[in-house]
Amino acid sequence: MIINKTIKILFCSLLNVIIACTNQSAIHSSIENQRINDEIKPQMVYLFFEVQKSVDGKDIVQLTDKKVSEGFFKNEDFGTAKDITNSFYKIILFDKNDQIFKTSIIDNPLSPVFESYTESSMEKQIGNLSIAEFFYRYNDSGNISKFEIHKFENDRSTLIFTLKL
Amino acid sequence: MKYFYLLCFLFFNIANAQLFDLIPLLENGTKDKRINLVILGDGYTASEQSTFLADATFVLDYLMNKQPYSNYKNYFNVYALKVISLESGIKHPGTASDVTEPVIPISNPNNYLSTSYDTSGTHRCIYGSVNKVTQTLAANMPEFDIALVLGNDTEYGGCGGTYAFLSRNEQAPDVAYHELGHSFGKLADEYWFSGSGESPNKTKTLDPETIRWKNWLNTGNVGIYQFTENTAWYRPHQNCEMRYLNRQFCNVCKETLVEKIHTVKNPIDSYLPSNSTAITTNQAIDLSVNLIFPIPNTLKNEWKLNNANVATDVSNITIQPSQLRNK
Repeated sequence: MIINKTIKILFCSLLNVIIACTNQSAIHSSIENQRINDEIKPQMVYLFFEVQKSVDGKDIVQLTDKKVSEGFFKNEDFGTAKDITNSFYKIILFDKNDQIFKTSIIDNPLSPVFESYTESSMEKQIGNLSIAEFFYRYNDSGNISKFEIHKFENDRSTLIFTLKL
Repeated sequence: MKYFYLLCFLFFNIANAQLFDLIPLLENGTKDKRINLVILGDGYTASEQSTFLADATFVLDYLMNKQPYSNYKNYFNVYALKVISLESGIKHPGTASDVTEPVIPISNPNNYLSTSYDTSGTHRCIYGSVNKVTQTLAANMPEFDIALVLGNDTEYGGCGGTYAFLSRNEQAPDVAYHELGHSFGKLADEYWFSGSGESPNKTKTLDPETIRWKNWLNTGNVGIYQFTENTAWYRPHQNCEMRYLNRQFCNVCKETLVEKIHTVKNPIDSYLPSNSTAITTNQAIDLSVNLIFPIPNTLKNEWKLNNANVATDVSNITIQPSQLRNK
């Protein structure tokens, strides 16, 4: 009983704090929207994914989260491929006219390359996972309309994910 | 009971975008005008954050005392992100196949970024959740340019993937030095790895007239060295950091990193008058530029008017109306 009451009180207090913050951000958002209407500001976009190998060997990709902030990536290609093995993902961004705006290559998240170390030497291994996570980040000035992931394996390409933006 | 579930839901949402203290360890300019390196801690509890700051400073000092970062430290900001873990340490599941486990006691601390030994079956390979690291960065410093994770355990270890993870062992910072060669400079390893192809420091070209590093041949022991494991490929040096730990980068790798530094951050920090300022040509015009100087300075500047040199290596000049009329 006491625990239930404590939880209720805690819940109400927390809800108040959240509503207060939400109101603040709603006011802030409305002012922001007005500004954005005047001028589109550059945005930094993060897309987070999970990929799972299906029973028939296909890569099933799901968008798990998206984070957008105002600003600009100076080093936009952080996280893109360091090692081009015979299996990788090609990311294609399309503009509003459905033309290719940008392409990037990232390591196949199901075959991650790990470099490990002893005190004096190094070696690399290519993993073989059935489930993995990965992300992609890009600059957006309001001109990106579509996002695609193509899997390349032994020179064969397959479209495995599409997202309308 | 429904309140309990709602409370859990709210806590989950709040925890999903957790904010942590971002402490500047080296700050040479605003974030939009410098290359921002973020060091995240994992396995450090709230009471161990001073240890994390000391460890992050140790890594920073190590990096900034090795070339080319020692020469270009003015181009960087370095921040420590005080990620707080509920429990201390790096996980050790004891599942490595390259050693007889357990090398160290098996443990499963509740650390924030899931950093663990034994990744991919290799005991010394420390790695964690790539998306948790990125979500933490996206919430706390989305504009980061480079990042690495420092795990709270003294057992030597580190691993490079999307991010470099390393332990707080005093030998580990060199792992970060090598890994930045990959993640920042896109350099290949100069020990044999079949997975990487043509790179600034790896090629199939043997011709000294056309090889990628032709301008560096016969300087600082740069040459054309065949990989014994695959004789179709060549590297520029026999003793570079991209081949062995605890070395320096060879000239070819240094140049690649310096070019990357300049790609991310233009050496021109600011200038006056701004592009939007109207200039009147019937009075003297003051022009100035602020450059980010390497240490020691190797940057040259030239001021030209209609392609004729009017000044060299100065940050301010004044153009007289007569100089414009005569042109």
